[in-house]
Amino acid sequence: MRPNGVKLYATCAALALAAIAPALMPGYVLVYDMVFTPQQPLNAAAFGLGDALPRAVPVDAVVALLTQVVPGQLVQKLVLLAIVFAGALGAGLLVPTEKTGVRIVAAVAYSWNAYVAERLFIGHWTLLLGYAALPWVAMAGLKMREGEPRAWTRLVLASLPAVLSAPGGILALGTALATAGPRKAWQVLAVGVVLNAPWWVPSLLHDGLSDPAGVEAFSARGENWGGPVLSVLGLGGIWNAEVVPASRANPMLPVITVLLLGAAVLGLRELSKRLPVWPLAGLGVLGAFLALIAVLPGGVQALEALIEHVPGAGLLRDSQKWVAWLALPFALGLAVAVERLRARLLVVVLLLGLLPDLAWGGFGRLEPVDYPPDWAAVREKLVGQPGDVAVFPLSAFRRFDWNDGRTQLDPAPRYLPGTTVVDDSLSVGGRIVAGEDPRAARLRAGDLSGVEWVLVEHGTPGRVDQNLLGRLEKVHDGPDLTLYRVPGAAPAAPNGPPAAPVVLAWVAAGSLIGVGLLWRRLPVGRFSAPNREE
Amino acid sequence: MGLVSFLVAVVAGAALAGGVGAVVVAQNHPDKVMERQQEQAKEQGQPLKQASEPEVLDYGSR
Repeated sequence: MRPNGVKLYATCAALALAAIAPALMPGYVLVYDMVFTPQQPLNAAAFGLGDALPRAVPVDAVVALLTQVVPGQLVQKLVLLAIVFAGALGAGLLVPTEKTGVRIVAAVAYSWNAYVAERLFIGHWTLLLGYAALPWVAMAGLKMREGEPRAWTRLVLASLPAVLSAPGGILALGTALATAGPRKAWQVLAVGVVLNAPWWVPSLLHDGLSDPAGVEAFSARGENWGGPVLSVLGLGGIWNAEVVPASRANPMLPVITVLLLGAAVLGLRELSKRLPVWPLAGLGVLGAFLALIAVLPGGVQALEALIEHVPGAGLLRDSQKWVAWLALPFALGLAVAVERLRARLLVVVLLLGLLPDLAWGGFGRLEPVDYPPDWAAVREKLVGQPGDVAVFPLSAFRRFDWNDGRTQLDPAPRYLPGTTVVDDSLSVGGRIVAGEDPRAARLRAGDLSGVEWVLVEHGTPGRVDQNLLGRLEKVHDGPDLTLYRVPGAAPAAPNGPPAAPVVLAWVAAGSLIGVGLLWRRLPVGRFSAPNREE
Repeated sequence: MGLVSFLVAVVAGAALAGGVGAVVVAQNHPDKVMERQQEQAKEQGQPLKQASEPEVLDYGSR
């Protein structure tokens, strides 16, 4: 077996460059949910101790720590490259074959598909980091199943990119459970629970419920005449039509999706003689079911009821993300299906040709831009100053001319030091999905209590109440930003979850990572007897 | 084996043709045509009829 074939690595590097190359130019790619800044603040919210639901925990803390020493734009470029390269390489290495061409088919199928394109264009880079980690998690799970000593340390390390976000952590846990088998389930669960603690502990303590209106707004969407079912089975079907590559409207796509899935199932039958792959395939079916649940009869009502009453069930909205579980068995099965064909290169061309508009960062979707100088000026003014900042206009998203009018998340919370209060409600096609932050709700009612600064961003749609601004003291007035001080403002009382359990969660996860690393590197790990029960 | 390769080539060709067709259709979508006309008008210095901006920006649309 030649798993380290240069051709495989070269293909993975070429795929990463083909998709991400424009993003490597100087500047920051700011598109939908993807926001990077020169130096992200290390504040309580980044650790899950803020007022709002900890949606970006622990990734905000990790990026904040990284950008204390590495420029934010470099972190972003490395992350984007790693998503495509590591995902492709992992899938390629996972195929038990002697033919590098087969590995390349798996690599291309896993990293050049609608899921990667759509989630990249909507800026869900943390989810994609988890997606890229899944083949490596599967390898670790298989090693655990084989009883390899210290395999759990491999699982810990492979899961790290995934546990940066809640969906990524769950994707990794499911993959690990499916590959490690029932005998190792408790070990896998223990590792998963501890590694994911930095997000699930503060989430439970928040007892926040999400707006059930999000179920329908974020449900899977048909991208062609195949409807949502075939769109999702083709690894696409994201809710937002604006991030869907034009090639997904290809009228041949539903037919080809069925053909490729059929080939993948045949490949899985062959693969099952070499790898315990059926649990992974079962997980893929579960992922497709979860992705489609909101478009099945009664699905919306069931999910709405769940989200309305169960804290944390909000993870099930935008459920198309769970089809990530299908991508790995699909890529492995397809690769093995073409093992005996001479037409392997044609299959690769077919996969690439089905999605030409993932190339070159979606031809303009992932272009880096520079922040206007006002942003650094306002940051300078706020460094070392106490008090929270409220940001206007009240809208979670922005569309600046300096970013070519792309829709992007407000960068203020990740650019400015300290704590920032922004509107967290979402508008989808004009329909409002309510947010969860009580301070944002007060802000919408014109209540500035607990706010000591007000930032107004110019050149983006949305109104600002001039009567409100008239009562404030102007501190900075630039073409892009105006900063005001709120006279006589009292600091906000902390209203986040209790710190002790959150700190404990971080300590537990950090300790497990530390012990895992030491166990791999120090002789102590080598004394552990190999497991002979299997 | 030759037949399978031939069939894969046919499917790949049809898929590529479909993909190119889809991209061409997307480029000629009324919104895109409107954008191009507005850009042309801007370049020629002609006045633009601006639509009013929404108060809250859409995260996206279905």
